[in-house]
Amino acid sequence: MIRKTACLLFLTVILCTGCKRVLNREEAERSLKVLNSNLVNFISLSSEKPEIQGLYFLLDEPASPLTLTQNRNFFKRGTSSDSPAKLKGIYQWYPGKKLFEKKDTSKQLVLLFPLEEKPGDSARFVLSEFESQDCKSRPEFPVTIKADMFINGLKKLTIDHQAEVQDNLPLHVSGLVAGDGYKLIYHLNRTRQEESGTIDLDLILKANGFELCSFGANAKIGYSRQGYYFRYISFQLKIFEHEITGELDYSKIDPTASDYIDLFNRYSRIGIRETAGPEVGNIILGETGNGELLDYFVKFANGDKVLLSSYIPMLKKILNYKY
Amino acid sequence: MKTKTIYLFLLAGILLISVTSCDWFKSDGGENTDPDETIGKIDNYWKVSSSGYSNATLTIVDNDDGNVVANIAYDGDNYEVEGKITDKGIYDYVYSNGDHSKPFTLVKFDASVGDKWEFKVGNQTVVREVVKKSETDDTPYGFYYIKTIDVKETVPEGIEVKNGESQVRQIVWKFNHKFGFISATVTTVNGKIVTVSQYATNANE
Repeated sequence: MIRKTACLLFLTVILCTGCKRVLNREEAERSLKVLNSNLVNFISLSSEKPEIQGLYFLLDEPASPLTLTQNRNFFKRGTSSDSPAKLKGIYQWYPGKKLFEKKDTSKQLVLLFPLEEKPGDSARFVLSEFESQDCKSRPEFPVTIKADMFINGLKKLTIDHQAEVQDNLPLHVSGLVAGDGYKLIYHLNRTRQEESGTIDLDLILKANGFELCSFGANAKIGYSRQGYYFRYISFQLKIFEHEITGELDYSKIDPTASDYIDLFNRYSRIGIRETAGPEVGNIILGETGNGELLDYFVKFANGDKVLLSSYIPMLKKILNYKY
Repeated sequence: MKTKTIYLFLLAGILLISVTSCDWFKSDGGENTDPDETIGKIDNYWKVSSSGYSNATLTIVDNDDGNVVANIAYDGDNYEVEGKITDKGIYDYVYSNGDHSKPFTLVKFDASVGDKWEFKVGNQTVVREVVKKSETDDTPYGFYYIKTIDVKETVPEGIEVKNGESQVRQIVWKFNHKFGFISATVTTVNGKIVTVSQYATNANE
C-alpha cells in the first residue's frame, strides 16, 4: 500500500514538474511581452549610440550623398554615379542650409556633420573604398564598402563589405559592421542551375562576447527575366530569449485564389518558442476589419487567436517582406 | 431498338468530334493564346506619351503560348516586362516577380463593372476592379471614339515591386479589345498624377 502510494506520488510530482512543451495563453502572453520589451530596449539602446545616429542621418537625409533614394544608383542622381571619383573630397554639413558643401579635396569621401541628437558632438564619416554594380535591385548593389565613423575624433564604427554580382544579382556577399563591443557579421550565397537556384543567408549580432541575435534563411528560388522569385523558404530567428522558425512553401500558395488564407496557413508553419524551451504559439494569417483586411495572428495552445501587432509590432514588418 | 442504338452511337461520335476539334482543349481553359488570334503578336507595338516625360514604345518581342515579353524603349534605355495575352484578356507577372504560375489579371474583355481580381502578398492585397465598361463609343481616341474597359488598380503601402517599394498608389487603366492599352492614369505615393496615353499602335491590324 505504502509502495503504491509512493509510486503514485512520485508520478504526480514528475508530471507536475516535468518540462512544459506548450505555454498556456496567459504564460504565452507574458512571454510575448518579454520578447517585445527586449526588442524595444534593444532598439532604444542601439539608437542612442552616436555612431548609429550618425549612420542613420547619412542614409536618411535627402541631401546626403549616401542617401538611399529611389534612384538606381547608390549616390544621388546628379552627383554622377558614373564617376564616384568625382564625389571624393571633404564635405561639411550646414544644418541651416540643409546641405553638404565641399571644403577640400581628398582621395576619400569624408563627411563632417554634427549629431542632431547631440549638437556638441562632431561626427566624421570616411568612405575609403566604394564600388557598386548594376543590379536588378534598386539601388545599384555595392560590391565594396570600406568605411569608418569617428565621433569626436574616436573611431566608433567600421564597415567592411564585399560582394560579387553575377547575372545582375548578388552572388556572394559577406560583411562586418563593428562598433565598441559589438559586431554584426553577415553572409549571403546564391546558386543557379538553369532556371532554379538557392539563396542562403545568415546574420549574427554579438555584443560583449554574447550572441544577441542570429538569423538564418534557406530558400529555393526560380529565375525570371525580372530577377527571381521564392518557391520555398525556411528561416530561423533567434533573438534574446526567443526563437522564431518558419517554413513557407510559396509554390503552393496561389496569391490570386479566393481561399488564399487557407492556402497560406496550410502551406506555412511559423512558430514562436522560448529558446530551448516551450512553445509560445504559431503565427497564422487571418481576416480582420470585418473581413476586409488580412493580418497576422498569434494562435495559442487553446486555439485563441490574437493580432500579432498587439504584442510585437516589429515582427509584423519583418513578415511583410515581399518575395 | 437497333435504330436507337445506332442513333446513340452517332450522337456520341458527333459529340466526340466536336469536343476534340474545338478550342476548349487549347491551353488556359478556353482562352486562345495563339499570337495570331490576339493582340500579343510579335512586333505589335504601342507608342505612348505623357506630359513632361519622353515618349515611349512598348513592342512585343516574344510570345510563347501567350506568355509575352515586351521591350519598353524609354529615354534612351530599354526595359523588359513580361505578361500573358489571350483572346480574352491581359495578365502580368509584375507582382509575382516573373513567376509564370502566378499571373495577375489586368483586364478581361468580357468583364463586368464590379469584377475584381486580387493579388495577395502576405497580409497585403493589390486589387484591380472594373470601374467602367463603355456601352457606347465614349472615349476619345485619335480622330474618333471607342469603347473602353476601365480597371482601377489599388496598391497598398509597402508592397514591393521589382525588389523595391512601389512608388505607385493607384492606376486607372483603360483598355480596348482591339487596340489593347489606351491609357493609364497613375497616382504616385506623393500624390502626383501622371497620365500615359497611347497614340499609335498596330495591334488592330
